[in-house]
Amino acid sequence: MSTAMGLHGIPDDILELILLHLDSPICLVRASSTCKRWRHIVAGTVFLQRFRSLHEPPVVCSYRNNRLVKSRPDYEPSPSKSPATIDSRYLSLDFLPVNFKGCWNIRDSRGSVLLLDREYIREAYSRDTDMFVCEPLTRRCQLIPRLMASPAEYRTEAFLLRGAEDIDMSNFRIFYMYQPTGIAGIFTSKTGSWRRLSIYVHGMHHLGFAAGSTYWYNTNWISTVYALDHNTAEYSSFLLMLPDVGNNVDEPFFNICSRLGVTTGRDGKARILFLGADDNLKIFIATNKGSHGGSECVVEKSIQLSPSMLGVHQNCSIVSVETVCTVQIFVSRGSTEPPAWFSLDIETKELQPMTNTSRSTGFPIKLPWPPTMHACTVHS
Amino acid sequence: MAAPESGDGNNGAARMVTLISSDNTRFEVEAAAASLSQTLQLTILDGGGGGGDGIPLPNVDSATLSKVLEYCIKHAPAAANGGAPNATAVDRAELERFDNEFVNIDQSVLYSLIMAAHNLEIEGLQSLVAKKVADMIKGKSPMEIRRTLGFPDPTPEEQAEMNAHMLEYGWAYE
Repeated sequence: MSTAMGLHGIPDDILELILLHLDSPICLVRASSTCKRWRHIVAGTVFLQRFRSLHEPPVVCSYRNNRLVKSRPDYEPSPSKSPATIDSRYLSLDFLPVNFKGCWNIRDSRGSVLLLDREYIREAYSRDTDMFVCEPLTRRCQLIPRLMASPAEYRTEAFLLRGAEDIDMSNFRIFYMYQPTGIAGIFTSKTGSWRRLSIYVHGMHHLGFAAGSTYWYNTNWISTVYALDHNTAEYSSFLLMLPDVGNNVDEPFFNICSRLGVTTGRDGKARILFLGADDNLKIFIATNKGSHGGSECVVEKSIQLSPSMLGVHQNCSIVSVETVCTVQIFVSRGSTEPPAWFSLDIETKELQPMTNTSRSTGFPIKLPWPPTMHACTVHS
Repeated sequence: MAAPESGDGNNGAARMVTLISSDNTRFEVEAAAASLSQTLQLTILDGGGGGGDGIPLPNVDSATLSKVLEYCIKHAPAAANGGAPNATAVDRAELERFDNEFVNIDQSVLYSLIMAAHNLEIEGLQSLVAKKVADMIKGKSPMEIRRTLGFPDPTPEEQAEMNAHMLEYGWAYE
């Protein structure tokens, strides 16, 4: 049987093995153009899943808001090791119109898509905001209907929900919240409609993302942490007893918030962090079996920071990052000394000074995955 | 290449087995090398292939089988100690050099090799050849891939389909 056949005569299962060794979706898309049989294999659900499990879609580009009127966000292609890189005209967002009195503002990025809005002044003291989801590489853009027709919005919070699946134009969910009312909803691309969340709390303070949920803090009624699970798109709430705040009702809300954060522990569970005025970092874990019989945050441990570690300072605040087990600490040293940034591992207690460059992040996008392949496109 | 009958490898000598290609050539190899093939491993564990019997491989010709065995003999020691924590960097580099050299061959041989590796279930060899072919495809346009792999020229209908597909996935073609 092994006569002098070319490689194109290879059986399907061996061809699959070969295609699985292609290291980038770009090569895969090109290979799928080769012939009908190859296209058919590449379009297979099982094949796509296997390919995806072997090759994480690469980041192709990172965007940055420049806040300029009549301008589009800046972009910076990723340095790529792959022989195939994306031509800049597919990254430049040149399909977004710029002929209006407003500017494009990226709110979030996830998978191959950007969540952005443009705000424009309708008349004095009246602003309108249109929100879009766009996929730069396929030059597609979708206007998202408004959650509320005429909200009394002061500012808004918007992000793309993360889940187990890859996110692209046909599969995304948006969380949107009006501040300070706390009225919020989830938009699902599959239904093309909003679902209003039943809980809304005035003045939610965003803490960050950890262990599959976004966290907020609020102390209107009683000191509480709210968590939105990105998979179920539902809230849960936990009481949070802060040690030196309970007695000090005069402490401004913002001061407390600036010393709260979240991170994901190495066990995959979320930790809520509070840096007290005495530089004592309390690490809480949210549980449904608290000592009061309900959902609350219980202290897991604490780390005492000192001037010998942070330098002589006036006060500290913390910033949540998505690195596991890590929190950033901002140290202000008064008007004469420059401030300092540190990164703290809450398990090993390792404290690293940081430079400005290592803190900046843009909005990265990845190659669309799965590439929505059409097994047999016949154009006559 | 015809091998004499072998003993069963007592007195500390390695056990040998005989493999018979589709064109009736007999190959005598150490059982450990032949056992890189999942298919052969079962037969060998059952005591087959020793003595004058030999294991017939009706799907593999002698040229291909000799190439396959060259791979197995080279990789058997590393496979025997399971990827080998005690393998030195030098050993690994040598295997890598061998592998690169090994697949630097004509396409028709690559084809026969991957078919044989598939039939005999030699995972490492399958992977090695698949990776080589994938490397031949990487960074190429669909037409270049077709030419590289010796596809016949596309019919006008095929050409139209290719063009439509390339238009749809423009971002992958610049």
